[in-house]
Amino acid sequence: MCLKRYINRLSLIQLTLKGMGILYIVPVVFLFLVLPFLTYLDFAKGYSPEQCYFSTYIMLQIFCPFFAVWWTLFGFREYVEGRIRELLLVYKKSLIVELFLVFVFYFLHICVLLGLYCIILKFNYFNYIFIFFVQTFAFFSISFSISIILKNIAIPFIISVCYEIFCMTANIDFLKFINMLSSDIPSSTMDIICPYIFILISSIFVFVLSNSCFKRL
Amino acid sequence: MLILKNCTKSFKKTKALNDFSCEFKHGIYGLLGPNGSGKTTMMRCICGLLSPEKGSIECDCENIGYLPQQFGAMKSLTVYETMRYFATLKKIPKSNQDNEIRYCIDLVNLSDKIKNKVGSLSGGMVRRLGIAQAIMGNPEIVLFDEPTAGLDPEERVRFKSLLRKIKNDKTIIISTHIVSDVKSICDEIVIINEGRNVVQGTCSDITSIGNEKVFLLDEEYENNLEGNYYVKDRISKDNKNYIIVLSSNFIEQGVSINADIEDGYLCALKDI
Repeated sequence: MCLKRYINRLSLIQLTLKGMGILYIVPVVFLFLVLPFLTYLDFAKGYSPEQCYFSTYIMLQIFCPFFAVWWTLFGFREYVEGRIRELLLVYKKSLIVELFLVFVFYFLHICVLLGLYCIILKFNYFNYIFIFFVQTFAFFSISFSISIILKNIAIPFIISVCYEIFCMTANIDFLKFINMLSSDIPSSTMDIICPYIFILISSIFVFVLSNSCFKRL
Repeated sequence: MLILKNCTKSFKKTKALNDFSCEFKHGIYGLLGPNGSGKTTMMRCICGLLSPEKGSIECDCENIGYLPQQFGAMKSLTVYETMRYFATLKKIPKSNQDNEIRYCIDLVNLSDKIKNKVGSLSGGMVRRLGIAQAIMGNPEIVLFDEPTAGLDPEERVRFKSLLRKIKNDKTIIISTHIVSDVKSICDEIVIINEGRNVVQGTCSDITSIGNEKVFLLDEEYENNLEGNYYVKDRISKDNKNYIIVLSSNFIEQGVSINADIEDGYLCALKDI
């Protein structure tokens, strides 16, 4: 019975992602074509393996969390602002499981990418998987909650882009506390867990809370 | 059985439903009322999108089919995929989905478009797709909000015969402001105005409200009319202009004519 329910949910997700049309492949293209190409450019510039490793670490942080927004906003657009929204709310009272499965599906892409980088660059990026997970989940959950509150997908998308640009450029010390991206490679487990556990807990809280707002017309 | 008891729902200062009570058994019900009378709010309350501030809604079934006033679908999906999407949302077992989808698509005459993308369909076809998803899964209660908006005359006729086909053991509520849509198919009509249930009855009950209140008279007598009256129509015949008036007072200068359901509806609405 439980399995049947999950198969149902997966088929719903499959149709939801299919409903995005060509927009579906944008994150896949960025993750598996643009990012490796940027790494290749680093090699072509004559960077040392260590420099490539660091540069890829930064690029992974720039692209991976941001594209979590893509499938969340464009895939579930109809639930947020589409003409079909009213009807979907009658048949579907909560999106929490479907959204989380979409997130897991997206994160699996990231894991595959990290695996490929591990093989090619011979550096183990899986050491920082917790950081990537939290950053990705934070982008995913915050964009979802803003879209639910504002019943609009354009504003959360613009906010995500602006925040991404801010994170890429703000290296001033007093702004770092709101900068989710790490500009240094963490040297210890505590460096990874301490700042990010708070972001993770807040993101889960925001995600669950916004799902309860979703039920309101 | 669906019972609404003293339901009140407000939006800021406007009372969309004002102490609204109504009982729906099996059959087809027409919900008639002018724009902004509370029809859509009532439907949204029944399907759980809104909850009334006061009163209660008693419903002994969970399976509801709903066609909202505004229906759209994901343009990149085909008609079949869209129906599969709704079948999954409605938790129709996977083994039944294909048969159910094809049956409903056939009922709304979209079988030849089953592989077409929703984005390529006309407005009327999308509306029919909306009707198909509402009746899929054999729901006990089906709510149609302005179902015939955008349908051509042939499709309106088909929609009426579809209702007759599926009406067994179901409560079907059709909200509309087009009187002709409901007169031939509805077992009962509920007239709603300013959020209140003005009157509920069969088509002949509603028609009888207008009995002896409809007059045809020369346009030049219009200024002499007194009391509560409503000019329903203006017609020209033999180079003379006439008006059809609904009035609770007998008009001596006019000729009393037979009332139809529209006259009864207008009399109930205007308190004539």
